[in-house]
Amino acid sequence: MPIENPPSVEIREEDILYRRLSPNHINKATQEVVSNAYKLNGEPDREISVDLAKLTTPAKSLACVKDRPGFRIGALLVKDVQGVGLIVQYAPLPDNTAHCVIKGNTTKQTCKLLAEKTKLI
Amino acid sequence: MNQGNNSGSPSYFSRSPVNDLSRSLSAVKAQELTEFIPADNATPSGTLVWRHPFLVWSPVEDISEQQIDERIGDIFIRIASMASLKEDWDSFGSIPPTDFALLMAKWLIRQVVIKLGSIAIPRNVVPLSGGGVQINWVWKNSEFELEIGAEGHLGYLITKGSGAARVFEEGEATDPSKILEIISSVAN
Repeated sequence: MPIENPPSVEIREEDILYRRLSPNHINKATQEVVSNAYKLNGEPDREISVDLAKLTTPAKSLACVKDRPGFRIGALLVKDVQGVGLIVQYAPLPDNTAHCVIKGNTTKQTCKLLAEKTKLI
Repeated sequence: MNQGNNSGSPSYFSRSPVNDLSRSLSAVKAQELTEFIPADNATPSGTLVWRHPFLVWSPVEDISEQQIDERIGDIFIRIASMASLKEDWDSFGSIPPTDFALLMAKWLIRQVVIKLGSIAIPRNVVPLSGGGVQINWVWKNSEFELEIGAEGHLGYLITKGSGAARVFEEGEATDPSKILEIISSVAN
């Protein structure tokens, strides 16, 4: 459940977003991110959960899967997200004040473009 | 149910629609597909043509299952490994791929390799959130991404060209034979 009346956080186009990736979201041979990373229940994920890098760390973003091997962080630039026509909205949670959502992902094409823009860290 | 023969003449399998609502749809469809995929090299090779709600066997070319599977062995190993995925494999609550989606993925890959040869070996196969499977093919100037839903719904994304000049086309399908036609068109 998001926080009501969250404090204002400016999201700049040069900011970085962290996306949690399972081993099955990564092409093992090429180490590229696969478009399934941005799909939910067989459809494009319309509210992609990400963390604002300047408010967290990669370790914190992976804390919920720390006992599960193979999970990685994929980094996206806000300007790349905006470049494919999507919106980044700050949406802090009680246990995650870095949480944001990427809104507007409604096509397979956008999922593919986001995957291409995601860099493994 | 009629059985196939080794004479090379067309033989057809047919089965009435399943009315047992107590069984899960996925298990039922997986069973139907299993019963119609040849189990050994002695049966005539061919193509399963979907004529809902029947599967019809039509001979296409003489190529053994062993030859097909050798070509796509790594991909099939990958698909087999997905059968052991657990709930929440993606950390966002997804169920693992259904038996039906996994079987459909293997069947489609096998059919497209029969039709097009080694160029039809996929680049990658991954699970899809919601119980499905996603298959990616990449060629010199085009790509094809296929989504197989948990219950067999098919969706695709075609990418043509490169860089900023790329053109995308996406769609949905209910007939696997249409997907085979599209892949053939994109690959060529």
